[in-house]
Amino acid sequence: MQLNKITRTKCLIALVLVFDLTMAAMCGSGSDPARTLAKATDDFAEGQKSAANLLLNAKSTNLVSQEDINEIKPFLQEANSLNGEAIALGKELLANPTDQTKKERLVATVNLISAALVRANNAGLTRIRDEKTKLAFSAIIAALQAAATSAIVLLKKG
Amino acid sequence: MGESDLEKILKIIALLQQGIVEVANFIQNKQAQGGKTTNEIFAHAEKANAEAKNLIDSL
Repeated sequence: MQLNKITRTKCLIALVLVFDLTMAAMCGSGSDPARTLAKATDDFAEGQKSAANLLLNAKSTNLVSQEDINEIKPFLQEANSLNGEAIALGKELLANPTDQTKKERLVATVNLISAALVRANNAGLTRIRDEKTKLAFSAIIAALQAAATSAIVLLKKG
Repeated sequence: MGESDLEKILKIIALLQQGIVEVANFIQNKQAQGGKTTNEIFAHAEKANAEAKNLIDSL
C-alpha cells in the first residue's frame, strides 16, 4: 500500500502519541508505582476521548456510517467502564499499597481492558473503510494498549 | 455523485488538524500531571473518563 504525504504525516502524529504514552508510562515506573498507575489511567481516559473524537469527526464527514460505529462502540464503552474500575481500584491501592487482592483485581481489570481494545481494533479494521481514519483509529488503540501493557508490567513488578 | 478532490482534501486536512490538536492536548495534560499529587491525578482521570464516556455514548 502506498501512503501519500498527508497520510504519512498523520501516521507520524499517531506514532508520536504512542511513543509519548509508552515513554510516560515507562519513565516513571521506577519512582512511584501508584503515581505512574494514576497517570496511566488518566492517559487512557484522554486517549479514549481522542478515539471518540476521531470517530465523531469521521461520522460528521461521512467517512464512517452509524452502522459501522455501532459495531465499534460497545468495545469502547466496555474499555471505558473498565478504566473507571481501574481508577477506583487504583485509589484503594494508593490508600493500602500492600493489599495483594486489590492488586490482583487491578491486573485482571487491566487485562480485560486490553482484551476490549483488541476487539475494538478488530471491529475498527473491519468496519472503517477510509484508510486514513482506519490508520488513525488503530494508532490510538495501539497507544491505549501501550498504556494498558505498561500498567500490567508495573503492577507485576511492584 | 462522487465527492470532489477538494472535498477529499478538506476532509484529510480536518483529520490532520484533529490529530495535531489531540497530540497538543496530550502534551498539555502530561505537563499538568507533573504539578499534581497522585490523588489529584486520579481525580482528573475520573473526570476525563466521565468525559470519554459521554463522548463514546454520543457516538
